[in-house]
Amino acid sequence: MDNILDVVGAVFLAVGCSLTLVAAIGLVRYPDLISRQHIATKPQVLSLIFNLTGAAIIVRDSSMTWTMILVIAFQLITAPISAHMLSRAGYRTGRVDTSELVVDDLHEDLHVAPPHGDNRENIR
Amino acid sequence: MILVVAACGVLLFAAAIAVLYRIERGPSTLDRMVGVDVMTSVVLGALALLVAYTRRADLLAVFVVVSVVGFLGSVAVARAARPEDPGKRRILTIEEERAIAEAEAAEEDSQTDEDNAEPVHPDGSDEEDTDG
Repeated sequence: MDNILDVVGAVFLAVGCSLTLVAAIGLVRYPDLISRQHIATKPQVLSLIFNLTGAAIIVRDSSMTWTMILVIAFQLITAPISAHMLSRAGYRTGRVDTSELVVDDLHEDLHVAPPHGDNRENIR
Repeated sequence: MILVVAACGVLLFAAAIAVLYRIERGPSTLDRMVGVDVMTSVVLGALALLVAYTRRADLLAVFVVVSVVGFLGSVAVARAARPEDPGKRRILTIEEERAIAEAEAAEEDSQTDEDNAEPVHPDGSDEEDTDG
């Protein structure tokens, strides 16, 4: 039984590390900030989940498992937040080529005149 | 087990090299911060490998701290992002720095010359005197 669990954990670790490599390759090859943001966020979180699950399966310690669950939950909450903030900051500081975008909802919020009394430009 | 850990270590090393390339190239601060995010993930993966290989359970706090610090770093940089001049995206060479410094010094010299020049109408009454 222990042997089987070790093998399962090793498979998880291998998949996780491969996904980290996928994220890194995408980071090098993708052309602009938004697509790099995309490739850096999604495989990164999945690889982290695989890595930490693999370690938890191999070690098989209760405090270890709970901490891994905590870290995974924290990453699932914070990775979208940081990705969103970086992309939004990139858009607002003019580092995104808006002519390449298919859907551009922020343009309406930022450049069309807001109705009277709207102080939306103070929100960043 | 050692084989799996070694293979995963090689994969993570290659990933770290690729991420370092992106952090070095930029071209903007936010691209670099994306790279730092992925580097945090690489570090967490390496920690998971270490924990799985040595089966030690005393590195738990390190996982939590590394993930929290990575998140706070990227959020702080995103908050502090400012519009940047496209011409200033790279570090200048020494010659370019020197040329800019000389141009600024020349500009300051010309300004101080203007300040020290004699005023044309010291008391504002020259023309009236000659006319009267």
